[in-house]
Amino acid sequence: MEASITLKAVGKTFKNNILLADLSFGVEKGSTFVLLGENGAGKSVVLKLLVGLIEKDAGKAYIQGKDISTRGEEIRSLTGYMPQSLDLDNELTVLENLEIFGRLHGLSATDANKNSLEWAERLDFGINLNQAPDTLSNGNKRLVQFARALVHDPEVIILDEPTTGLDPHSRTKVWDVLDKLHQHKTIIFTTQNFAEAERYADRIAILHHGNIKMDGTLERLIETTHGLTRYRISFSERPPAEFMDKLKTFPRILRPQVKGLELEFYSRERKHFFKVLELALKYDLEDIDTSLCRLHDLFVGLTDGGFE
Amino acid sequence: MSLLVILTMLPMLLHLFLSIPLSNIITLDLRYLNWAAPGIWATSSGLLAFCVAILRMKKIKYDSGELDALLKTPLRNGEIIFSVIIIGTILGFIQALISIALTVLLNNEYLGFWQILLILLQLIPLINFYAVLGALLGIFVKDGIVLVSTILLIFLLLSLSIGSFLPLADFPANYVNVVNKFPLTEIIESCQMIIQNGTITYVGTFLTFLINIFLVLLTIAISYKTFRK
Repeated sequence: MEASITLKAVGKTFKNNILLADLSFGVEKGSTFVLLGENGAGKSVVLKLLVGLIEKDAGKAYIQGKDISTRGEEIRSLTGYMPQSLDLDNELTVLENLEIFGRLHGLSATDANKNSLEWAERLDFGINLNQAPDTLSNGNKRLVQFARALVHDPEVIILDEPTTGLDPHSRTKVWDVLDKLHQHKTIIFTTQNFAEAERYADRIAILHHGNIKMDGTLERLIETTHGLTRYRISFSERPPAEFMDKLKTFPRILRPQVKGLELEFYSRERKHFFKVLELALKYDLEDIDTSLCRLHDLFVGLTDGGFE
Repeated sequence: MSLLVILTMLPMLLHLFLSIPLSNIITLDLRYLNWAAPGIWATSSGLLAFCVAILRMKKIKYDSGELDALLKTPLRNGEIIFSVIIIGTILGFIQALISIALTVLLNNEYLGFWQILLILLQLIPLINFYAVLGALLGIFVKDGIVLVSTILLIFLLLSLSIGSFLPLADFPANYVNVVNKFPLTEIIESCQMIIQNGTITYVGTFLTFLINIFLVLLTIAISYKTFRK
């Protein structure tokens, strides 16, 4: 499949901090790609770099085959970017904010107006069109920013935590729109919401310290855990320290930790769990829960020292 | 509406607080109020162009997050800078027209169409210079105190140091030798010559034009280092 976005050995340093280190990945045309990572992992940096808000120090990056360093203007007309921060012009109305963006991306005045009204209706903020953005709630401002990123019908949609600050109803609206667009557009987004990443992304990349730790479809990522299972054992009283000390001596019990009255650990084989259970039964045990590893577990394992 | 008040008040206050008191102190061959009129035109239009450009650039770059919004459109850095310079120059030009009209009324003097045209021809590069300077400094001025101090400094330079309100003959000879070489001084002198029907030169206008081109290129070059980090 043809790549829509390609990054090859991209590096970026800012004030002696390495933001991106030798980062390489590709996003196929017509696919939805999500970047996951802790705060400061470099997710926003990647997106800003793609739209030319920051410049890379090393490597090559292409959007639709065009080098972002030399064909920035062309690339920006192909992309629609929604930043994490609020950056609407409060001296203009909501409608003017949308229209001016359409015009700056090459739409005629009529088309810019038509598209702006369409998006306002689709995202339910038509009533606010003649208001200044600073009179809107943060959620509505985010919806306007989302519409602004799409007003010129871009080929590549770049969204930095698009649903942060939105109520569940608005989140659904945003994902409904992206669901419809994703057949013929390339979408790259960042999020802290694992459920959204699992549900909407065709491919998931986990970014850690400016580089991709793991990248693939959800199924492929889950496969890499080789049947790792998360176990939770609830007690009516906090288990004593000696219990934890003993537990640490058990082989193949990964990342055991007590959270309140709950013990959480990972293991690949049931028999190891049964050994823990045998020990736990000596204390006041209340409940047991087991689940196969999901994206969240994989993310925590990868970004917080690993499972082993 | 508030802009119209400022455009009217600025030349009137310069006339009231600088020209009228100084007319009682300074004696020239020409009536002082008429001689100082170009000072009012240059100071008010230059100052307004500078303020508009520096405030606009500061707002875009630091206060509103607008720069990030603009940078993700296909606009080039140069186009963003030009938009700031053009709005500063246009408003400065309107200020110059209003200032000329007001001084003509207040001083009961007559300026013909050609005289006004020649004056505007001299003033446009000056206004443009201050708009470009405002756009350039606006890239760096983040702090409010620095902004106010910069505007004050520009006002003092414009009004008192280049022969706008105080005749250069009253300054030390060494200072005059230096200041006379400034193209902006020549522009003000030329404007003073136009109302006296004297000989005017376009050297200052031309040099200011060249300086403006250089400053625009410098501003664009700096923008490539500072806009996209």
